[in-house]
Amino acid sequence: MADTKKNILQAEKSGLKSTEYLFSILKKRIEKELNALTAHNSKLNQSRIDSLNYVLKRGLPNKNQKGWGYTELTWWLGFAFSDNKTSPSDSSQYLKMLPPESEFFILVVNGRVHADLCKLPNNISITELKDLEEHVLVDILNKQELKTNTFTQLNCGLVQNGFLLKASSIDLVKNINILYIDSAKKKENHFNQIHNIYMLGENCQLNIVERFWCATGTHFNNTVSQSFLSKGAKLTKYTLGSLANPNSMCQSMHTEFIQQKSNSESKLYKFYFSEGKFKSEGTVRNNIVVEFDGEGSKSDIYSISMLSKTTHVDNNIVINHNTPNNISSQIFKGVYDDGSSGVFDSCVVVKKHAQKTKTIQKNNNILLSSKSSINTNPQLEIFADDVECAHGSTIGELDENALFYLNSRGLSKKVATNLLLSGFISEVTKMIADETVKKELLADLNKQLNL
Amino acid sequence: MLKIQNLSCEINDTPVLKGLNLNVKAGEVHAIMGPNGSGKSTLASIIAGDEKYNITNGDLEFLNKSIVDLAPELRAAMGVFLSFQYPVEIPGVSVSNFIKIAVNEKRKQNGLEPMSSKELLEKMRKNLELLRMDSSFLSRYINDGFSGGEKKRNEIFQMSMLKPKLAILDETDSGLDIDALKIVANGVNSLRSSENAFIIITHYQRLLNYIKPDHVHILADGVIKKSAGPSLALELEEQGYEGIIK
Repeated sequence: MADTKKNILQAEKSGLKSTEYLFSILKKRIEKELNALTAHNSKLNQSRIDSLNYVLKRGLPNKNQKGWGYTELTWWLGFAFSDNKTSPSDSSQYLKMLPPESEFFILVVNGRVHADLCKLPNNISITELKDLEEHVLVDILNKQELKTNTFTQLNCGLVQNGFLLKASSIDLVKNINILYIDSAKKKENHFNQIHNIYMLGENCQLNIVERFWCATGTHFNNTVSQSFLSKGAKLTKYTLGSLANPNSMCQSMHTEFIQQKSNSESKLYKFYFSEGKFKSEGTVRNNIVVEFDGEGSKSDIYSISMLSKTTHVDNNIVINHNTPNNISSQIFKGVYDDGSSGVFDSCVVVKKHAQKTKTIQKNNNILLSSKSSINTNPQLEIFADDVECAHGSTIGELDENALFYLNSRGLSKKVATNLLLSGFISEVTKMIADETVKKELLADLNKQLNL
Repeated sequence: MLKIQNLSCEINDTPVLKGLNLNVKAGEVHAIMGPNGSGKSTLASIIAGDEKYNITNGDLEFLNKSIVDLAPELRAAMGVFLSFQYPVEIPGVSVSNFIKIAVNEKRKQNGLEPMSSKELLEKMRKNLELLRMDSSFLSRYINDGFSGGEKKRNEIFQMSMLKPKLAILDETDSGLDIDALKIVANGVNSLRSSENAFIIITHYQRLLNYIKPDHVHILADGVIKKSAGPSLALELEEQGYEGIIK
């Protein structure tokens, strides 16, 4: 621990870039891993070796790289990359963090799935990665879409933990609550790879509510989820928090792949707050990739970031309309106070044969402080000629006339500001269909807003 | 109730009011008329506490207290209300939620417990009826997609809920058809009492047929040029500002 700190300071002094320094540490770790993997020949090990070699070849992304212009890997990750200490703790205690009415749940502590503490309905099955047949896992880890990103490859190379969730009948749908905990205490360093797969059979529906919470140690969580939606399947996923709290040394990386066959529907809701139970205070990077492979499908992504302090949330999105007749929408709302910052870097690609595509891409931001910032870049790449595409970003401050209007009705500056902000984000909050989630979220929102 | 003494102000270094005097007592209705750009809306905004304007001279007293340095929300708590010429649209915030917060913030400032939701709703229903407004209005977003007439009625509805001591109506009649004008005037008249006062800013004599003023003032070039009884408004209608201000 002390050594790492010394090394960081030394590296910083010598003019090294943080990514170079971090890569030198990561490299050692990967090389050690490669040695172990080459000792046993298997398809799985070969797949892991390929992934890790990709990481060694590509290195960590730096600011000059496309898509990484505004998010930096901090020096402190050196701690997480160099050693991994976990003190044992009673995992069942964390279940109390779920809302009392949570009927079904999965608990993941420090990347490890607690199969003994899961409760699922009959029509949904869970298999831990380690229990999957080798060829199934190898198939998943070798998906083409995972092969163009250092962090997903790092995940595929190192991952030990995760699960496959399968929805295979079309019975009544209840929320599956997944609680991710990182228990790193002070002076503990965690470096977790989590890899989850969601498979939705024909016409099946899956509602996931993810909550992320972590203790005060240094950690880097690199999660990958892959969702495969068969014909007519419906996936709804709510994400609260990020595993990047509660100190600014923490980063988390979340990558979400969604593949949709015909007539399927995916809805993602991502919420990042700087206050409340599932708050984020470090640096969060989200990669979301949606692939349309059938027709008549829909994908909606909604997000609210309400940030303060020095929290940073980077949303990087790619929607590939590979086939005709699909609809996608993105509505991202950001409110930034203090020195917080955000990134919205989204690209909708409409391929040549993807006629009748409809897409909306929207990012609205309010900056509450002169030190806060947002970099927004909504892009469209259209190769078809019969499409409806709209995109836009706004960055502004609170409307002074509206503030005066509310003040003149007796609302203080603070109450008026909060009311205007709650109106600003309502475009997203009104789209939350699930009443339990909505209640929890609005309660959390009010903590940001002090309403 | 309201005493304005020698008030001068500017916005972006341009003087607007230039030593204005006005005295409003409880129970009175004052009409302020005047040509475009004479400072009528500025006067209204300044009484309500708009910080865009810089007061360079004079004093503004409400209920025997100088309010020049008082924040707009505190003036509202004391009983000042401004019906805006151009009410602001606030998407995402429902009328009922807004009214609830406004009523209870005012009560809090005056040391009162929040009003129960039931009582609040009853009051809202009653006042909506008075203004012949549908109750679906409550769940709409503030002024969002409202017609000009609906916006003005919404202002009067808020006034009826907040029961101010001093209400300033800034061109509430513009954009209203005759039927709506009668309804709004009816709403205002039902709130009139010996305890409260109104300042009505208007371009037209028509509104004053329905809300009878005690005093009519002509504001031009940042000062009150002439004050008289209700007959002044009729004179104006005939002669125009040029004939009278000269």
